[in-house]
Amino acid sequence: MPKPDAIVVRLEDVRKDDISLVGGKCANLGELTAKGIHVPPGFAVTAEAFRRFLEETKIGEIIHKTLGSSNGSKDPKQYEEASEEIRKILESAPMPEDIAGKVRTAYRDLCEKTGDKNVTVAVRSSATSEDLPDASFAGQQDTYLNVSGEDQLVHYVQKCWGSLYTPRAIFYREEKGFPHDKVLISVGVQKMVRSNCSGVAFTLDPINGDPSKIVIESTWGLGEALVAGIVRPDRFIVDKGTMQLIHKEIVPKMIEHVPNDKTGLTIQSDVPAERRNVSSLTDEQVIEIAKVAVDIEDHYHTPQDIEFAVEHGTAGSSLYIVQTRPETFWSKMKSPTGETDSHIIHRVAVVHGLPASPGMHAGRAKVVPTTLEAGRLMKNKDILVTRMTNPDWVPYMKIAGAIVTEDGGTTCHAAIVSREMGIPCIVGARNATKLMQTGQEYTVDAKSGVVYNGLVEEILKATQPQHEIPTVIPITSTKIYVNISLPELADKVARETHADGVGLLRAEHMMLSVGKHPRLLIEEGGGEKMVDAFAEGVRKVATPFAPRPVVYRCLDFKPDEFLGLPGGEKYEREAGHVGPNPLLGFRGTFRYVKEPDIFRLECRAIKKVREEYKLTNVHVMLPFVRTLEDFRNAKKILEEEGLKRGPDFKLWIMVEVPSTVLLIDKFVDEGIDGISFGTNDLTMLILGIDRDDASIQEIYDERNLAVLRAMSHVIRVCSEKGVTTSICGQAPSNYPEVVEFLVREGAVSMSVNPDKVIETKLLVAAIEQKLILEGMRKMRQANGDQGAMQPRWPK
Amino acid sequence: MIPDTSRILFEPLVDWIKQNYSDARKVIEIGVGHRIDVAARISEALPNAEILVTDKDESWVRSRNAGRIRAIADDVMFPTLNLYRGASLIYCLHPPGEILPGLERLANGVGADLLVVPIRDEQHDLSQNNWRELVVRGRIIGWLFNKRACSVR
Repeated sequence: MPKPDAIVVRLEDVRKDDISLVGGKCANLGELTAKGIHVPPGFAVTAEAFRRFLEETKIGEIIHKTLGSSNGSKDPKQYEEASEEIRKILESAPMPEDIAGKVRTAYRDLCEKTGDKNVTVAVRSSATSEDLPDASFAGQQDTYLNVSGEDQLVHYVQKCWGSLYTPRAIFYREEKGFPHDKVLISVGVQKMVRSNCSGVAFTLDPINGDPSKIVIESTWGLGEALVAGIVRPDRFIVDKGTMQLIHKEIVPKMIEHVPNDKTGLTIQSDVPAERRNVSSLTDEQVIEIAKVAVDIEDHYHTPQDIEFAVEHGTAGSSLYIVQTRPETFWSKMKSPTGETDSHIIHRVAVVHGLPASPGMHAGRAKVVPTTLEAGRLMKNKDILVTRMTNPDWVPYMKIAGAIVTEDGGTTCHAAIVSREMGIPCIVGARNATKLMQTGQEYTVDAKSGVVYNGLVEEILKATQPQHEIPTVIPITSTKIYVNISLPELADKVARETHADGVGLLRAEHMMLSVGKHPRLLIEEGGGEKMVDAFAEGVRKVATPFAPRPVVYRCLDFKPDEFLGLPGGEKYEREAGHVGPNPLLGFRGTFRYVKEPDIFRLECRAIKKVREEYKLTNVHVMLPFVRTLEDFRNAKKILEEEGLKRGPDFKLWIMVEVPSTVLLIDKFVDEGIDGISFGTNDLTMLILGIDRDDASIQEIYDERNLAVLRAMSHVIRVCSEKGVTTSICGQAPSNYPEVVEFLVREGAVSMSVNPDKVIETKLLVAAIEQKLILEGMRKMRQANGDQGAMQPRWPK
Repeated sequence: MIPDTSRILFEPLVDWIKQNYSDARKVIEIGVGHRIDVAARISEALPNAEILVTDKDESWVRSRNAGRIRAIADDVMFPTLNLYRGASLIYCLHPPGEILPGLERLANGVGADLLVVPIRDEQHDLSQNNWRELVVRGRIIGWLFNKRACSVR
């Protein structure tokens, strides 16, 4: 542990608790070094060195006096004047000899360690308030690259101290409420990595906050071009759970930043033609970076924004982590809500780009190529339109209502800072400075990455919260289940909807994922593949919902829907299964009896989930049951496969065909534990409507009295016989009156789409309270209280 | 050689796209999965359009390079907007209901028409809001988002 009065400390000797001495950046690098992460070697010139410099040169008082005169001002020009004055004083003062001596000694030690007698170093600020969990201060202080030799190093350390007083740094501290005299600066000195490629890794998706993703952006050369947004980077997304590369976008990279060996400065140069369209990272490097990123996130227990560099040497490539800091926007928010946009109509899109900071704003655009122009034109809540921002733009970004930049990716300066400030921002909006005009009104939809002409009413309305998610989700007597088609999203749905279970787990998309007609699979000896795929799909749903029930509905593709799968032609059309109306054809439970070998694969998948994965919350529902005989035969197959009704395994049927309505008592006697109305087919069959025939759709209505009477009859019979009743068709999702009808009739549960669960719970809670009140009034009336139905006024 | 699986199921759809998007520069199928043949037919029908297919599963996409069709791994719930810019039509065959909001957001975001063919069990998820039936010769063959004139009888 370094002493509190240390002037210079090696990075490997500092830890995260040493922020007050070496600043957040160096503390993080020390922490990473100790953890074994590959960080360029170096040392920190401590904040104590800076404090002593201010004290011994007696310029601290002059600085604070100058700053005091700009305090409270919001005019960017005043910041600039104060900054210029302070830096001139600070950089011209001589560094005390003992401090300079220790910096020189540390540099010589680093030369020895790296085996380079004049090692080139990067000199970076590490302010003691920078990189704290609540303020990223992106790019706030200066960085000097390619510094070589003791004298040059001392000079640039002092310049780095001066960067504590740039206009943007002063502005940031005022905005964040950090007192100037409490903020000291440390300077990090690290061996310069000659990056062949560099980039940024986010341990969540910076666009939407999805914590299950790692987003990596990279480009050729040094990282400045990327962070400054001068280049569009290659972009990679890695799934954090599987560590699989799930997305990559390789873009042309025309320029790169490289060190100039003669001058020691960084220059911009053209990327040679043969490298322009080549990925700046190999897939293996992407995964390596992702793994290191996860290690760092795990270490800090919070999402991170990590800068890396890849150096190609004679012994292969080396990955260096050059900086890490907490991600500051999404980590302050809840995980993404999956909210849906309101639909946007009557709009003319002007430009499109990447949504970098979500939100919407309408106002006048100011197309400003320079900060000078911004200072002249920008007014509060204007839309700032420029090529790309850098830290000098921050004062103008702060007053902007929205920001649109032509260049940059989701990790560029504009993106990071706008997210931190909560300002809607679109980056990479090509030709925005040409297509948008100063003074014109536009609507910026930074959720979709689109700028529209004029004020788009629909968008502006959408910025008002439509439905606040209640802090307390009511517990209802009528259970509210959810319908699920895509097992991959079940975890999210379980977390966000608070559904009481899954009332309909569809098998059809699992079949599409397997990618072959089941008969073809069996013929090729691949039946196990279907069992495994289905078991995995069901497991993905049953795990996050356990112990809540999950009702798996067996595969009910209509014959023509199988045609899209390889083998479909042969085993459906050529086999004569595709009739004139597939909805009435070879489907449902009848099919299980006719093709028991396929049905048995599904049964085995469910058995596997229940027995091998111990997920006994999974139950089975048979669809499109037409006759008692079909049901009996299918049930027999289920039992033969080890799925026998009992205390923890329930068998449901869907009530979709009028025969099940009319014979519901018989089905109950045959042995069922539950029914679920499939109102789509039930309505079709009761009203005699072909669901695909456009000419008669106007009379298709699940609220038709005949449909309601059918449901009422089934619920009554099932209630009497202790069989649970539910619904998984669209009716309750689309019509609140159907929800009230079902609650009143005594349905035990209803299953709706994920986006309707909370809404339906609130509705059902209100209906149930109404029923209780009505019941109490009736009881009082029955007990002779004649005023029970009358309003009572205070006497 | 294009497999013939879509001969009846999607034939009217391909014809409709051919009639209504003859000047399209870019048409994109989302969630191509194992079915490249519809995109291949559209590619034949619209020789001047770039046909792009995407899927979240990269392994499928890797095996889906057929002729001039470009296949790219992308997740529609977190799309890379650059890929979709300039598309006249985005379509998706048999999408799970959960991704419909993502499809709508994407179509809105890039200003493209959106056409989906749900499995029949999920057809009624689309009957609300801005979805319109795509009717060809009296049959509902798909659903269009935010598009008015969509009846070809």
